[in-house]
Amino acid sequence: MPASVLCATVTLIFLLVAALLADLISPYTPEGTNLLARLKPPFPLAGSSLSHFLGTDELGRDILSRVLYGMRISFLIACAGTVAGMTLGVFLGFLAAHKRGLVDDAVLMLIDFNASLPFIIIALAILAFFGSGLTIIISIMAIYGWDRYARLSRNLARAALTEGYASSLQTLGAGAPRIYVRHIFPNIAGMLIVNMTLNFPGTILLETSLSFLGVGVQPPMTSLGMLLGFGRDYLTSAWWIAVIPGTIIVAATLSISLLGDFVQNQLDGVTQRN
Amino acid sequence: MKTLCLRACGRAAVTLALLITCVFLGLHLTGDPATLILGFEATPDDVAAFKLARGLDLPMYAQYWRYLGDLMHLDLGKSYVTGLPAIEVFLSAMGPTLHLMLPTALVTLLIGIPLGIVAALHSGTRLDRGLLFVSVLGFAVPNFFFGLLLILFFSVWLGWLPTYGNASWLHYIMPIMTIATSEAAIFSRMARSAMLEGLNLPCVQAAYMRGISRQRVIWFHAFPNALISLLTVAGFFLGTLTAGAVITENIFSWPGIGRLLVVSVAKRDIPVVQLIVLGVGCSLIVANLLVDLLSLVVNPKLRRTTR
Repeated sequence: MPASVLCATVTLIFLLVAALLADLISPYTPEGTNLLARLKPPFPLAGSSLSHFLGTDELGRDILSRVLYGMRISFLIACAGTVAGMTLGVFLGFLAAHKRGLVDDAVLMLIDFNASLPFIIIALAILAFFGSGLTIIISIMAIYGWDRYARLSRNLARAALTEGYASSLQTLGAGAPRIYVRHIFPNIAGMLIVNMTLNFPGTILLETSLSFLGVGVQPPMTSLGMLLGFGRDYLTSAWWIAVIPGTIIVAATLSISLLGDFVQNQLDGVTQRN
Repeated sequence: MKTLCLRACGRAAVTLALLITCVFLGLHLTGDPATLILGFEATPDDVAAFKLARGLDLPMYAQYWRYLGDLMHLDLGKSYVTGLPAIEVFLSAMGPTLHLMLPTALVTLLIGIPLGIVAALHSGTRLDRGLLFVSVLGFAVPNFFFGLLLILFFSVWLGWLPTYGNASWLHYIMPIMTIATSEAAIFSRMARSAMLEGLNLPCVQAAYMRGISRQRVIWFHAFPNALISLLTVAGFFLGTLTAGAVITENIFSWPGIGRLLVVSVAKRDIPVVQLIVLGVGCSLIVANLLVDLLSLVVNPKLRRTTR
């Protein structure tokens, strides 16, 4: 395993554990203000204190705590959106592979349509039509990813149907749902997981972009993008409010990308050797 | 050739029809426009009169037909916020966006293509891996964060560049840098693989064997072939460029379409939002169609493949 991948794995595990344990390890509540300690810089800088390790914002809220809770929301949305997108995509992909003909054409057309517009514009239109909220944002993340899962699962399922095991199951009398869910899905899960790691950074970036623009996650919830967006107004006096959440976004997306590329190369190697 | 052109046009038409239908359905799922526009204090009589005037009492298919007619007349209602016709608001924001996107596209090409060629000519070496790392980094740092870092560095610390608006050419530097960095990061990878493909073509190998100099082979044989395959990703490039402009205009308060879109979404100014979605969607669909047709003209190989 190359050093960069090892580094990425450690970073990722560190961030995930920190986000999961936000309740336990954050020194303050994310909304707790302290007007006596406003705009404190992060630790090694002049005027900082160890009690606010990453500094404080304009209301004296502890940045470390806010970032921890923001990470949790950002990761939660990205995970839920990825799972929902995969479910939708795999369902439509299997449907296309199973029904063929018109259904197949319709699904392929939808996939092309989804790819024909920059997704941020679709996402903004959905937000304008339906308003913002956690469910809407997770749905947007699902719509963002579904086309690649659909294309992949359609092609893989079509390939699997020509293999012996699917037709022997049919002969044995297994129903279509059983064949797809219990037999074909586990066989193609590896490829889907690789696609997930390739898709995940994009999902995080989409949510943070929307929250940065002020139309994604709404207060009192915090997400990394929202923290960055608010920090923009204090760049002249307190750059750390924006730079710290931004750095964490970059660290998370970069390490997932590196990990995804590595896993994909490994799997390619395995399929080539076979 | 003719059937292939027709097929490309047909695909564009279907995409366009889907886009219009989706926007229409989206509009109808937003809730009752009567309460949105008139407010909650409206009397039932007001609401009924409003619905009659706007044709909202008609069955769905009739409304859809009416909507298509309105689209043909470019009559898309008035902005809820300013009261101006949505089309005027849209067109006034179009200029600044194009002024931003054209130089950005140029800068992206001028950075991305040379970097990709250098990487391809040195593929497998340390230089290639170094460029790969730079492009992964350029891609992983999101536009909105990179833009803020630029502001922090050039405006807050150095005090050289203005941070918002589009008043002078100085205002163009940071937005262009923001979009072009991430675009060039992707584009250089595409240029690299296109160039590698070009260098490995049998005709290019044959040119080497005929004793033509390396420089000549690279620039007159491999490079034109690489350009042809780069043309096929032009549509994708336009899409990411637009997405980059939406984010970047908001960082630098650039008075363009992206800024207008986000402000309208935040205020739920539906007529403006739908016009932007339709306008940007149509432009991209038409651009993609032109790219498809142009590829058919310059690349005879595509004409022979029948699906």
